[in-house]
Formats: sequence, structure tokens, C-alpha cells
Amino acid sequence: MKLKRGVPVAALLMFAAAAPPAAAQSMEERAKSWAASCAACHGFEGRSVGEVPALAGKSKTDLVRALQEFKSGANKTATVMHQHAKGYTDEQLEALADFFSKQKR
Amino acid sequence: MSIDRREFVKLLGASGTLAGVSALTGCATEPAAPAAPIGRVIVIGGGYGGATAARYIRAWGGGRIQVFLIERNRQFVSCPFSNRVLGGSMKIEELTLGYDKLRALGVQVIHDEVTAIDVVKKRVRLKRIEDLPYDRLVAAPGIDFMYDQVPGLGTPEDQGQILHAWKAGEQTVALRKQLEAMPDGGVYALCVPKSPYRCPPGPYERACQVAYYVKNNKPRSKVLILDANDDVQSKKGLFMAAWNGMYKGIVEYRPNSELEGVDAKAKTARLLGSSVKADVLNVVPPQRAGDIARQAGLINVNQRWCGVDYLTFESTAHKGVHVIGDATLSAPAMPKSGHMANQHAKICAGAIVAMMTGRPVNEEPIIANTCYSWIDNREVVHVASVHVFDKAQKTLVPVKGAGGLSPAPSVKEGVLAMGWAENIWSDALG
Repeated sequence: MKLKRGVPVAALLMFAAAAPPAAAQSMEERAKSWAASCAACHGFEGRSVGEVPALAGKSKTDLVRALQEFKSGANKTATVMHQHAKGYTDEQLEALADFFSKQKR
Repeated sequence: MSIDRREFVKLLGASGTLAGVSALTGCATEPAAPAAPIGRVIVIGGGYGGATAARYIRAWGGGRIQVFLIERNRQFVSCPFSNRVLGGSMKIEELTLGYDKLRALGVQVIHDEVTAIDVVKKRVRLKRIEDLPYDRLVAAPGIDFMYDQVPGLGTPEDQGQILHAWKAGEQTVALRKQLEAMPDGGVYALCVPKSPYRCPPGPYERACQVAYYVKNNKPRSKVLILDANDDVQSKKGLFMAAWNGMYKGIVEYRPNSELEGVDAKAKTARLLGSSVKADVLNVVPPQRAGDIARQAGLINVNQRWCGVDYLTFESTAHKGVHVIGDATLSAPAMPKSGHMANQHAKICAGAIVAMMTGRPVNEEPIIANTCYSWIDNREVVHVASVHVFDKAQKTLVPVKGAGGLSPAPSVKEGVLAMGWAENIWSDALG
């Protein structure tokens, strides 16, 4: 009797613990969070105020190409981006390019 | 239901139960107005981490989260690049910024000192103004020094003689004055504590900057690095190349030189089995999370650092309190740096906004570090790394194959380093 009563209570507790925000973030939400990391050098939302290139409002195609050239090592003039780009998957780089292309300059 | 929205928000702020809000608004017949406030976040400390957290919570919360930033100093002084003040190629004023732009972005900046945090009642006590309640707290207290580990530096008088200059500002300027007063042929000795400490390459950059100053002004002088560690902690090859190259005959590096005590008046450092008398003795004491973290019981690792959940930077000691920056237990291969604090702030800000608006947090954070060190007045080197969350280890880990070092010092990186500074300052402070 005790056991029988115990089971549904435990199940209920498990359900309660698992109930809150179950869905994962969308790719757009994650890209916004990843892009914020880049802002330290490239400026808030990619709007640079210094010598580091701005990213906001650049074409997505150009950004993807640039990032892929950093990642593959094809870009021989990079100082640090060839080291950063290798830390991201192609999908993540594309999401970042998409995010920055949509920011106002 | 005769409670109007304003009263409701007040009650909410007092109870701090945000989970209850989404349930209530979920049942409401009309949708909540977009600008309806959903709670208050208090950020303690307006450095690289705290200022960034305040700015991003405000921005990402769409103005619905009230953000208070409590900072005791009127102005932000950058620790990164402050070694250049010692070298003489930068002035402290160039590293000093105000909080006005952050205010204009909607962050309520309060210049006061938090004397206590009540994590149960969710209130902070302040020196000058009344207690403030919060729904979530971000503690970004930086580091404080463990002077009890350095016999001979116990009194404020001795601490005023033997400087650390490991928090930029008055001490930086005072140490520069000591260097200016040093005779040609004098000895500058820098005591480096055992890792972990704030800014792993900082001591070695400092040695370069002091060497740059004496090379051009007091060329018979020496720069002695007394390192408690068994080796250079960051950018080893690049720093050694400078010490054996442009600073040959000036810089001497002595590993395994753990400090046993100091005679402040005689400017003497006592090491195991020997002692070193200097003309300018610069002691960087061992460090721990800032005082307020200790008061609030947030220090729960080795009696020094604050443990956090790396997906949210929520304290592992107290729910509802987040800790970022140098005060945290650093994840593997993650330096205590201003850049990292800026990155912690963004993971933390994203998580806080998600938690307060009933959205999922990012379970795949990616952050990066780019850390520049000045070899002389123009040439710079960097170390970079990328860090991702490892679900099995539940911590941030460096991505293998990513990151790296400069091949050599360059003027090109000097220009980019200045660009980095301008952008990270405006990223944090508006």
C-alpha cells in the first residue's frame, strides 16, 4: 500500500522538476549570445569604434567567406582571427555572420 | 483584483518570486504591456565584468528589467594597459572613463559601497543610502589581497610603502613616481604570487614596461622578477625573447622565488634561503574574491574563490546570486582577465534575462579571450583562446586546435590592441 501510494508522488515530483522551460533556445537566440562575445573586440552589436573592423551591416556572404578563410588558414594576414575561427563549427560561423549582417551599421 | 500594476510590481520586487509572475501573466486575459517592468537586478562592482553585465541585462531585457549598478569609485580605471603608465607611454587619464553613457542607456549607477548582502531577504546594505531589494544579484567584486600571507605587510603604512599596483588607479601612479625617483643603477624587484592571480601575463608585461622605462632613462638599472611560480605563467616564449633580446642585461627572471616576508622600511624581500634588497620593491600579494563575496558567503572554493554554474554564473553557494569575473573559480585554462570578465558578464546577462522572462538559457555558450601585452611603447603580443561548455564536465573548456599566440611582437598588434581597448570600454560602458 505504501509503495503503491509512493509511486505516483515520485512521478509527480519528477514531472514538476522537469516542467519549467523545456525548449532549447532558437539558433537566432544562440547567435545573439555568441555574437556578444565578439563585441569585446568588434564593438557592441559589431559597431566598432576603433581600429578593429566593424561587423554590423556587412553582407552575410562576405562575412561567411571571411570567417571561412580565417578558419581554413587561407587568410595569411590575420593576427588573431585565424585562432578564434577554429573554435567554431561552420554552422556557428554562419549563424554569427547572419546575426551581424542584420545589425544596423 | 484591485491591485494596480504599479503596486503589483512593488509586491513582486519585495517577494522576488518571478516564477509566480509568468504563471499570473499567463492566466491574464490581456497580454502584458511590452514595457511592464519584471523585476530588479542589482550589480555590485562597475569594472570590466559588472559594467558589461549591467549594460547587457538592460539591453537584452528590453528595458523591462530595472538595473542598478553599485560602484564605490566615481570613475572606471582600466587595469589592462595600466602597465604602460609605469613604462611612461600612457597616462592614467587615458585609462579613466566615466559612467555617464551607461546611465544614458538606462542603468541606474549608484556610487556607494555595499557593506552586506542578505541573500535570504534579497537585499543589499549600503554605506550611504537605504537598503535596496533585488530579484537577482550580480556580484562582480574583483579581487582583494591576502595580506596575511605576506608577513611584514600587515599595516596600512607598510602597504603604502610597498605597493601592489594590481588595481589600477592611485597605486599605479604612486608606483610610477617611485620608479621616477629611483636612481640610475637602482633595482626594481617585482614579487609575483603563485597562480591563480589576476591577469596571468600581467607581471611579465610589467617587467617589460619597467625595463622599457629604465632602458631609456636609467640604463644601468635592473628589473628583477621574483616569481613564486616555477615558470613564466603566460606567453613565456614571447616574454623570454624580449628579456633576452631588447631587454638583455636589464631583466632577470628568477623562478621558484616564493616570498616569505617583507621588510617594508628596508625594501627587502625575504625568500627561502635568501633576501633581495631593492630600490623599488613591488609586491603583488596572493589574492581571493573581493571582500563583499566573503561577507555574503559566496566564497566556497579553497576559501578563496566563488564557485559558479558556468551556464548562468549563478553562485553554487546561493541561488539568485550570480558571480562573474576574477572572483569566480576560473574554469580550466581560463585566465582571470578583464576580457574574460566581459565574457562571463554576457553569459550571465543572457541567463538572467532568460530566467526572468521564462525563456530557456543558452546551453551552448561560446566565449573567447584575447589578451594583449605591451612589450615596449609600440609592440604588442597576444594570447587567444575559445571556450565552450562541456556538458559532461559541467564547465567551460578550451576548444582544442583553436586559440594561440602571436609569432612575435608587432606594431600592427599594437594598433589593434588600442582598438580592442576602445571597443571593450564602449561595450561595457556605452
